[in-house]
Amino acid sequence: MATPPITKPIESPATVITDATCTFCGCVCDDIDITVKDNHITDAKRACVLGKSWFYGHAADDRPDCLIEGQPASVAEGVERAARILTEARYPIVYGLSDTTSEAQRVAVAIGDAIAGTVDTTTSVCHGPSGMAFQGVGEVTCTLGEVANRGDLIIFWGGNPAESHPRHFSKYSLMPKGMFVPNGRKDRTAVGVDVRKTKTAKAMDLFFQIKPRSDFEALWTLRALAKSVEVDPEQVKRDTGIELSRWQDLMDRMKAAKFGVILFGMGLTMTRGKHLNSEALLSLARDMNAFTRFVVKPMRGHGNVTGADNVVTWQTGYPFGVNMSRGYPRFNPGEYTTSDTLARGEADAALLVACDPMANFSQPARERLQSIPYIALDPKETPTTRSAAVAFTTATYGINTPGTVYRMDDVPIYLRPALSSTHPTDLEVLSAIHRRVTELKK
Amino acid sequence: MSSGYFKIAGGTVYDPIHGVDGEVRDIWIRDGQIVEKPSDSNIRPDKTLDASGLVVMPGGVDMHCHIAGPKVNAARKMRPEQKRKAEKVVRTSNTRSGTMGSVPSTFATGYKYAGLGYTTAFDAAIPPLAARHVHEEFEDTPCLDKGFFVLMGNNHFVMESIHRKEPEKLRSFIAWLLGAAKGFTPKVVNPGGVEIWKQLPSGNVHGLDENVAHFDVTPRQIIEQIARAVDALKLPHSVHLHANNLGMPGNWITTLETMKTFGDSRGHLAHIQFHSYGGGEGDENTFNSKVVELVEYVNAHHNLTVDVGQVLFGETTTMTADGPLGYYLSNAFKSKWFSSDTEMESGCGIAPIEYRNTSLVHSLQWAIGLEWYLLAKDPWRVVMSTDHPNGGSFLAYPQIIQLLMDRTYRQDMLKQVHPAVLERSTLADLTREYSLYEICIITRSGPAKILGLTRKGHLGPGADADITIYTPNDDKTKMFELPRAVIKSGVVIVEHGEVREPLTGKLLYVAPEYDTSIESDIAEWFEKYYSIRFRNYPVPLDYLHDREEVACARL
Amino acid sequence: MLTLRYKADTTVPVEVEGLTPSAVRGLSIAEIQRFDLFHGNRKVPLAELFEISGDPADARMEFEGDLAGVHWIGAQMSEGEIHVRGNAGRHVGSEMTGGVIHVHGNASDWVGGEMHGGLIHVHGNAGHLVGSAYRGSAKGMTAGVILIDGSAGNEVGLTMRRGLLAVGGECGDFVGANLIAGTVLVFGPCGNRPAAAMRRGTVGLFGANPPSLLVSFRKSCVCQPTFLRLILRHLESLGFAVPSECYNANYGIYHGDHVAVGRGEILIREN
Repeated sequence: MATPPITKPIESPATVITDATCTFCGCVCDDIDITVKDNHITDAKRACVLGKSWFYGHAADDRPDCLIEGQPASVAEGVERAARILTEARYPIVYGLSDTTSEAQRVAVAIGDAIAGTVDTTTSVCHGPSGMAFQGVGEVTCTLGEVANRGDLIIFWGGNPAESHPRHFSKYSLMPKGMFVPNGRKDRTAVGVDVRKTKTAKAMDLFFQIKPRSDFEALWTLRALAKSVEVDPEQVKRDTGIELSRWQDLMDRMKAAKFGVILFGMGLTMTRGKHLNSEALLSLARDMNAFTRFVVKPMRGHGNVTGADNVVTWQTGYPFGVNMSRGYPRFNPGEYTTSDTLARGEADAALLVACDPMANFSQPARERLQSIPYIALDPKETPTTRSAAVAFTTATYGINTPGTVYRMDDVPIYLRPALSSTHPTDLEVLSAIHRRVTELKK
Repeated sequence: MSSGYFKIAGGTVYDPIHGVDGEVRDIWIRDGQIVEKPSDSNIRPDKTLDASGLVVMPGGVDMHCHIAGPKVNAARKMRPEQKRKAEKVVRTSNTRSGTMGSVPSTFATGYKYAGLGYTTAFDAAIPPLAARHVHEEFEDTPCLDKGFFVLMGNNHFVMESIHRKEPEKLRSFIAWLLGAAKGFTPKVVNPGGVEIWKQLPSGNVHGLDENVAHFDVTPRQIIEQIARAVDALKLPHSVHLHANNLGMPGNWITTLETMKTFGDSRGHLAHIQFHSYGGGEGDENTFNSKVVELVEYVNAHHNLTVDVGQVLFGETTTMTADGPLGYYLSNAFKSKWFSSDTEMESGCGIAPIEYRNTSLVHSLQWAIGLEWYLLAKDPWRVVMSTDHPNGGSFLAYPQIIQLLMDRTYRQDMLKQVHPAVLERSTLADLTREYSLYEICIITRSGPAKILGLTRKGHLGPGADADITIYTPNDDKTKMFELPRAVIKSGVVIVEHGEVREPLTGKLLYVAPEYDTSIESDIAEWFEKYYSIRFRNYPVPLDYLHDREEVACARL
Repeated sequence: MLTLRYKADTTVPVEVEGLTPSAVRGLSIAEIQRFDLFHGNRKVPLAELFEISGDPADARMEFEGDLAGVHWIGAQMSEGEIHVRGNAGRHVGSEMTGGVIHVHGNASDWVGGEMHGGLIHVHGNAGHLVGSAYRGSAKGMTAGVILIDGSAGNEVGLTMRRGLLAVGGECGDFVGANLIAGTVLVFGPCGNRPAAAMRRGTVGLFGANPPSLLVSFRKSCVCQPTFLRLILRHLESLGFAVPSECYNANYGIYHGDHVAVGRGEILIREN
């Protein structure tokens, strides 16, 4: 009698994808080596804690590709329903876009154009104010390699990169042994300005814990010192919580630097003053260029929010909050931005791509969103997808899909996907919706 | 049964590359190309466009404009106030909406260029780190075939290999870089000056033999070596240069020296108008035109070509890879200012500007541009441009044409500009009027030839079927503003000012051969100082959709 | 007088730019009923949103109802009179060059945005960016008078370059920011950072508890400026209520903003 063959479990070999890109935060690190085994990521070399959670948090799921009113449906049915919702609306909005590829973003804007709607991105709740400040005074900036190669005085203002962009210090701003900063950290002075001592503060050489909501006054003090305008020390202390002598010392260091860099975050853009806080900082950087080289960089959050800015700008001429109700683009932050169009009850339909307003918008905005028909595209199940009229489960960019993303300094990088997915991509779903919308609008 | 032929019948044809000067003839098109008339007279065209009484030219070629990439996009974003007040580009069933102003959005750019009868355009200055961005924008810029020049004049590897006197390495690097970016030719902007700007406040170079610190090369060496490398690689277009000291009174001396630096190498000097100034030390009273001296040199040296960079009065936006220039302009005009330094490669500066006919300097700039056209002996080597949008929008090309063809119109405008133009330039004495043949040369045939595009700028068999048909009009601005029809790749894309079929157009690039062993050197240098991985830098062919490699002559 | 009674019930924005006294004065009622307005992305005839009656020939228009969701009322108008008997939406009188607008209720943001002449009087409250520049503009309002009886929000008079703006109640932050020229007077309490980056012009803060100014302002003197009395009388002649104590009060004059050109002045009422 023949003995049955002993079957051993087949060991599928692991593959390693080198130079892969992480899109969790604006660092968009493209030096990650991903190990894939049985369609799982088992290692992400060089990824930080956020990157690891990004790479490891993707398992194949068996959720339906599409749900209509919470019930499984085919993608084609979902596309049809979505197209009808969008073409019947009088003030449809297209929002989100930051966690997807530029190829998909381009189609989303095309949809917004075709439905005569309003296109907005998560920029409007993040660094939109910096964009507005840029439109007021301009901006002096550079790519991150310049920071690494030349920056010798690095100021972090209103942000906590140690936790929000964990590899920023080591990859770009503090540690690199750059061409003109050959001793790396030793050649640099790191300064933090924030209202509380965060993990970032501990990595700084100097830390300015300013009074809450006094960023503008602090920046104005520095602007005055740069121009040798006499200021009242008592008032400075009252306004900012910091002695004038410390600000003077900082300004002396700024003037003595060879290449100063200010990296700023939501502490500036989302506190009282908002775009005028950003404008004060951008103006300070401009002022400093009379004395030495000085640049600023907004610390962008999501992986491809910079891509969203770029795509919306080149296609419409404006970076976010773009209304096309009249058949041509109009721009007015505060009027066409999504938190406003929802909170005021103006939007009557929405296409939400890779965002979760149901989790983080104001109450009136969420109430309005709940009350209107909307379509949501997301790899994950979220409060937003759960209340959607049509929800598409899409593949995750960078993990499942290729495509182009833009790092926080506008450098375009291509994604190397690691895992296959059964779900359609944002690009496929949006392209199908765009085709159908175009047919219906004829 | 379809014959596949499209015939343009009985038009008055201008084809300077073939010496055709306003002859009535037919043009036959098939499969997107111009072809010989079918020998079998039984073959009927599927479509005929009756062009009798109409002027037929090859499609326009803009060889120096700024229409895509991070610098252009930053400028768009920076000028919402100008877009608000500008012409609205309204969506139609087959066209996208957009915005105008001096930096139109991408779809609008394509439609408007096509609306003027242009079918090819090259972006003048792209840092290769941003190449993918440009390719994406190009895909959203319809109706045009496109390419771009790759910034190299402040590239660290370039400067290092020049310093080490390694011309073969330089040559290989240039070839590699062009292939990596899928670009067209090296662009050199203020060589050395942008690197100094990155190192020092208001840093710049002021002379060809100044030392670029840390790299120990001079601007003269950079220009000379890159020009030689380009010729050795037999690239279709020469090196494309934005010389040092742009805009400075007295800079004509730098320009003349720069021209001499080329030696026997081919060289194209961009927006030469901005480099033709006499005077000095910023003293407005001695600002004057030196076109006569410079054009004499260009006339005598056939290795050199120029595009003019015409200034027109009105509001526009300056945008340049010349970082220090951007700072200077924004301070001079007290305007908002954008600047961005790209690691290892280049810089950029953007500042709004308004050219006024009450200003002596602006009026002279306007006059100097016109002097170049009118004094140049060889129209094949003096190309029309506004350095869009630096001197003005490309939408002003029809007005420039009228200024060149209509002496009375020119003299009338001369009366409305600053009177100092009369003493400080020769414009008042220039009576030359361009013919249609010459206009055809400076707007299509010349630039096509200079770019080395053998299938553009002419109407002979083998040419891409890119054709513009104009209705003759004594008012040349009107004539050139509104072509009767524009054909791209054999398809009527614009008719009576309306976009009928917005094709995407293709990317024109070069892929010169090089010794691939250099790649390990490049990789080593790259991984040391760039902030992205070497493997993620080059743009692979399959990233591009429609594309065409333009051949280098055999090495 | 042409009366337009708003009858729509919608939260989708309605936009009425182009519907000005000059545009309608030569039209018949039937033509006015067909006038193109916008409801979101749909073009709709005016009659769908308004009941109209009366005669437009005298270039006077009266809107009735709650028009908080109706935007661009009086935008770019050059002559005539508009009364809104109720609230009004955004961009009231935007870029107008002449004529008079009265809002007998509240108005939303951008009242008189980049205005070039005429008069706007909001008898209730206004929103943000009264008499301001639109984003990116090098200059904002250039001429005209804006009177807000009630309160206003942030960035009142942003980048203003001449004109007269008065707020009877309180105003928010950054009043007169980037001021190039012109006069902005606030009679109620005011928010923080007034006149930041001011170049020239005058900002008056006459309410109780004036805010502290930015460090780049310098007190120069205390006085009772005659020019101010003239302006206050002018405001009263336009129907704006001026507290009597303002006429004879002492004013601290502060020069700044020295971070910018610094040839402007802030007047703060001291008693």
